[in-house]
Amino acid sequence: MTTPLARIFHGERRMLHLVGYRGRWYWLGSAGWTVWFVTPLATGWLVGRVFGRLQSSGTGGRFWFLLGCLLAAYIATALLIRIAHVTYMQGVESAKGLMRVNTLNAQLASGGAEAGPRSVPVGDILVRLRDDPFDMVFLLDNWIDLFGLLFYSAGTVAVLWQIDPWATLAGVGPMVVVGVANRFVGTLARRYRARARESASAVSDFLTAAITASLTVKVAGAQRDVLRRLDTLNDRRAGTAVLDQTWNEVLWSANTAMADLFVGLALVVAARRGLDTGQIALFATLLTGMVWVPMRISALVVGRRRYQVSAGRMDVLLPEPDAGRPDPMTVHRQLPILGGGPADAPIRPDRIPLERLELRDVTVAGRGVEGVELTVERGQLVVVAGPVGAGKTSLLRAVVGLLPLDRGEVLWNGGPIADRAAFFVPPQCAFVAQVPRLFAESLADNLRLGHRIGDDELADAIALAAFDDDVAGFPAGLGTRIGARGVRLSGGQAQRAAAARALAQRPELLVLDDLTSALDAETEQALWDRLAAAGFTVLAASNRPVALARADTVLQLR
Amino acid sequence: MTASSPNRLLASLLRPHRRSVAAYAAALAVATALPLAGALLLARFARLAAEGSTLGPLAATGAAFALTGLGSSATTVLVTWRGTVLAWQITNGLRHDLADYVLRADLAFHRDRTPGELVTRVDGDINLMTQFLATVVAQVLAIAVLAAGTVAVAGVAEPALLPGVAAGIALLGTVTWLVRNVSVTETVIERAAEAAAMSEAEQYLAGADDVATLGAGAFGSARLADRVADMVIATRERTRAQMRMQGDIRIAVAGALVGVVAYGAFAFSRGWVDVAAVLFGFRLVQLVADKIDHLSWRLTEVQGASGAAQRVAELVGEQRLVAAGTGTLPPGPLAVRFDGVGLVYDDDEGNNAALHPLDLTLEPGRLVGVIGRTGSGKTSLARLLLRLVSPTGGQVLVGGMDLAGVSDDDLRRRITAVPQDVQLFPGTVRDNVSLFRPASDDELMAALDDVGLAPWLQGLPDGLDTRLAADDRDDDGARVGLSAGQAQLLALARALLRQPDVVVLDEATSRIDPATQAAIGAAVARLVAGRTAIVIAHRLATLDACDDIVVLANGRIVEQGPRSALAADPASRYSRLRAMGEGIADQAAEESELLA
Repeated sequence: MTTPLARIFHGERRMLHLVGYRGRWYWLGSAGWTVWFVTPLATGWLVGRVFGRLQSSGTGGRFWFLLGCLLAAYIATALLIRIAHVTYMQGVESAKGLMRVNTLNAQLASGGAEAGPRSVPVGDILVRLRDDPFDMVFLLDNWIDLFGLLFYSAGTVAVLWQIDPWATLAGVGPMVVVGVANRFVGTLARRYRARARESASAVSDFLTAAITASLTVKVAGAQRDVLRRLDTLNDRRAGTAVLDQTWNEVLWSANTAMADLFVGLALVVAARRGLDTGQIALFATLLTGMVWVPMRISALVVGRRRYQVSAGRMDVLLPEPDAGRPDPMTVHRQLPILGGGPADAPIRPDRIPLERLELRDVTVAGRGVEGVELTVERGQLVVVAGPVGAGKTSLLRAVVGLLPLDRGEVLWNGGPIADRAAFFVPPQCAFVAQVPRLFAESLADNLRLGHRIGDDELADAIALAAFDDDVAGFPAGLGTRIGARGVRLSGGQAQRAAAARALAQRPELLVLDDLTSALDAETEQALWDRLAAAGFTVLAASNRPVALARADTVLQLR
Repeated sequence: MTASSPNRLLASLLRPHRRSVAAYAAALAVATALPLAGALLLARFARLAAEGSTLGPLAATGAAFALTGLGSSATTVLVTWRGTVLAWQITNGLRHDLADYVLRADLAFHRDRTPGELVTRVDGDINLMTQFLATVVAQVLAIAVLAAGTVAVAGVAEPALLPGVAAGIALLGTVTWLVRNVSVTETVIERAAEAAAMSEAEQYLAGADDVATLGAGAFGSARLADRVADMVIATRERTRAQMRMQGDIRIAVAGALVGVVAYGAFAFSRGWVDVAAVLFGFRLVQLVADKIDHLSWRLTEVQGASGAAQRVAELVGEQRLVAAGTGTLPPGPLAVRFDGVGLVYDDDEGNNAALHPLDLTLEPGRLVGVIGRTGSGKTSLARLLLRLVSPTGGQVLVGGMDLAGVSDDDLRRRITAVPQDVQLFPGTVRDNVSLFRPASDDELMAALDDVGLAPWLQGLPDGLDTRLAADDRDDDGARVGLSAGQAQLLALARALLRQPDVVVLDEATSRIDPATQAAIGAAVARLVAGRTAIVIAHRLATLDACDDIVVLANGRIVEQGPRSALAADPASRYSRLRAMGEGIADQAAEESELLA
C-alpha cells in the first residue's frame, strides 16, 4: 500500500478486488472482449488477401475460398461478442450491486453520525448510488479495452512491417505522440465532469425535497415559485452538461482527425514504394483500426479521473477504512445475486440487564446540551422537558449514539459505554424518533424489521403501544401494506406503530422522543399506563402534562 | 412494439424546436458527407498508385484525404455541441412540466409512490431521454444521410458497382430497422428494476436513524440486496436481447460487405470496373456498417428512452388531479360552508366513510376550533377545505362559491394551511420562508419576528441568506440551528407572509412546548385576525382564543357552538374535556367515553 506504484494504481487494485466478487463472469467476459479487439486483424488481413488475389489472378484461383473465409470470420466475430458481452455484464452488474449494498449497509450501520458521515442529503446519496458505481467499475474496462487494442496494434505493426517498414513507421509513430499529449488534456475533462455532476446533484436534491414536500408546496400555492427555482438549477445543469459532453467530443474528434492525418501520410509513403491495391487496402483498414489507440489512452486518462471523482463521492458515504479491516466499499458479502443465497441476517448482541443508566456531564456543543447529569433507575420513567430548541432531542440522540458528545459520558450499570451507537441497539435499547419512519412493507415487516420476533410477542407489543384496536380494524391485519413512509396510517397510528416496533424488541431501555405529540390525551394516558404496568425503563422527551405528572424524575432543560 | 404515446411524446417535444433541429440536421449532413469524400479520395489514391503516378498527385490526394478527416471531426464537435444544447433545452422543459404535474397531483397519487420513485421519473427517466436526443437521434439522422449519400456517390463515381452497393446498404438498413425494438420489453423491465432499487434505498436512507437505532441495518441492506439481485437478472435479460439484436445486425454487415466484394469481383471479371473501384465500393459499405455498429450499442438507449418516455406518458396519463375550476373567490373575509359533505377515500378497502354527510358553517372572520380523537375526521375536514381531496358527496362552499369551481391559483392564494410535518428545502432561510417567492427582506423579517424567530435569525451567520440543511433524517439537532419546534414556527411565518383569508392550522403547534407556545400566541392571533380560521388541536389550551368549537367523533359532528356558550354549560363535552385537561390525567377513562 505504501509503494508509489500501489498508490498510483490504488483504484485499479480496489476495483480488481470488487470484480472478483463474481470474478468468473467478469473475467470470462473480459477475455472474450480482448479477443474481439484482435479479430479486425484477422478480418483486415483477409480483406488484403482478397483484394490482392483479385488483382493478381482475378476471380480464379482461391478467390472465392478466401471470400468465404472472410464471411466466416465476420460471423464468428459476431457470435463471440454476443456470448462475451452477456457474461461480462453479469459480472459488472453484480459488482455495481455489491457497491450499492455495501454503501447502504454502511449508511444504515449502527454507527450513527460518528461512524458513518451522514451529512449528505438523501437525494444526493441516491444520485451517487445510481451513477457513481458505473464510473468506478468502468476504470477496469478502460484497461481491458486498451490491452485488447494494444494486442491488435502489435499484430498490425507486425503485419504491416513485413509489407513496408517505412510506411508503417509513418502511420504508427506520430500516433504514439498524440496518445502521450492526451495525458495533459484529461485535467480539464475531470474538472468539467465534476462540475456537471455537482449541478446534477443540486437538481436531484432539490427535486427530492420538493416532491417530498409536495403537500406543503401545494397548500402554499408555491408550485410556480418552486418550479422557477427548479428551472434555474436545470439551466445550470444544462450548461455544465453541455460543456462536459462537448469537451469529451473535442477530445475524441481531435484524436480521430490526427489519426486520419497519419493514415494519409502512411499511404503516401506506401504508394511511393509501389504497393498494390490489396496492400493499400490492408494499410487503410488496419491503420484505421489503430486510430483507437490514442483515443483509448485518452479514454483511460479520462476514465481514471472519473474514477477519482466518483470514488471521492462514494467514499464519503462510508466509514474510514481501518488498516487491518477490508475496504468497506468492496468487501464481499453474502447476497442473493446469481445464486448467492439470502443476505446476512441482523446480528443481535447479548442482553445486558439494565440496573442504572447514568449521564455524566453530557455536553453537545451548540445544541443546548450542557453538562447534563441524570440517573435513570430500572423501571423508572424519566422525562426531559424544556422549551423549543432547549436540546431535548439532541440529548436523547446523543445518548443513543446518533450525535457525538463533546464532553461527558454515558454509563450502563456504572460502566462507561465507549461506542454508544453500537451499544444502544436492541435488546439493550430501542429509540423512537420524534418523526418516526415507517417503510413501504407489510405492517408485520415494519414491526419486526428482520428481527426474530414471535407472533405472540408482536401482539403483546401492539397491545402495549395501544395499537391493537387499530390493527384489529385493518382488513388485512398485520399483513396490511402501509404505503410509502406509512402514509396509509394516520399520524397517531404511525406513532403507535413506531412505539410497537420499539416495544417488540423488549428493550432494557426505551428512549422516546416526543412520542405522544400526535396522540390525544386519552390515548397518551393509556400508553403510559401500559408501559408502567409492563415494567419498562423509559427515558422520554415531552412537555405534555400527562407525562410530567407520571414521571419519577423530570429534567428541565433551558 | 413501441407504444405510440411515448413516440408521440418525443415527437411533440421536438416540434417547437423545428428550426434548431433543421439547422442541426444540416450541420450533421456536412459532417457525414466528408467521410464519403474521403472514400472517393482513397479510391483515387489507389488508382494513382496502381498507375505508378508521381509524388505530386499522390501527396495531394493523401493530404486531401487527411483534410476531410479533420473537417469531419471539427463539424462533429459542432454538431455535438448544438445537439447537446438542444437536447437539454427540450428535456429541461419536460422536466419542468413533469415536476409541475407531480406537485399538482392529488393525495392518493403521492400515497401510492415513494418520493424516490417519483424522482427517478422526473430526473432519471428524463435524463435518459436527454441522452437519447443528444446522441442517438443525431446518429440515426447521420446514418440516414450517409446511407443516401453512399448510394448517390457510388452511382456517380462507379455506376457499374451501384447494384452491389445499393443492395448492401438496403440489407443493412432493413435488418437494423427490423430489429430496432427487439429489447424494448427487457429494457423497460430493467429500468423498472432500477427504479425499484432506488426507491428501496431511498426509504431506508430516509429512515436511517430508525433503522440504525433498532439494529436493523441488515434488514434494509437485505431489502436492497433483493432489488439489486432483480437488477442483475433484468440487466442480463436486457443484454441478451440486445446482443441478439446486435448479432443480427453484424451478420447483415457481414453479408453486405462480402456481398459487395462478390458483386465487384463479378463486375471485375466482366471488365466493367478495376480493383480500385471494388475497394471503393467495399469502403463505402464499411463506412455505413461502422456507423451502424456504433449505433447498435446505443440502440439500448433508444429503447431505454422509449421505455422512459412510456413511463412518463403513463404517469401524466393517470390524470390524478383534484378537479379545479376557473372561478375567483369574492374579495374580503370568506365564509366557509360544508353542505352535506361526505368523504370516502378511494383506496379505503372497507369503503368506510371518513366523514359522514355533515353540515357546518363558519362565519367570515371566525376562529373555529375542531377537536376529536385520532381518526375522528379532523384531518379529512381540513383536506376538504384545502381541496386536497374532492368530497364524495355534497359541496364545500367558500364565499358562497363551490370550491370545485375555483381556480387553483386563487384558491392557494386565499386559503392556506400550516401542516403538522414541516418540510424544509435545500436553500437559504429566505428560500424556506418565502418558498422561493420574491419577497423583500423587511417582509421576511417581519414574519419571522411575528412568530418569535427574530432572536434565532440574529444568531445566524448570514442572516436570511444562511443555508439550511433540509435533510429530513436530521429531525431536530442536526438541522442547521433549526429544531422541530422552530421548524413549526417557520411554517407559521410562511403562512403569515402569504396574507391569506382562510387559514387551517393542523396540529401546527403540537411540538412546541407550552412556554414557546405562549410566546407565539400573539403571532397566531395575528395570523387568524380578521380571517376565517380552523384550528385543529389535541391540546385544548390552544383553543382558548377560538370563537366556536366543533367536536368530531367517528366522522360525525357530535357538538358545535360558540366556545363561550359551550364553556359555560358544564354538561357540554367541551367543558367536561376542558375540566379534565386542566386537572390532568386520571379522568382519562371518562374522556374516552366522551369522545368514543
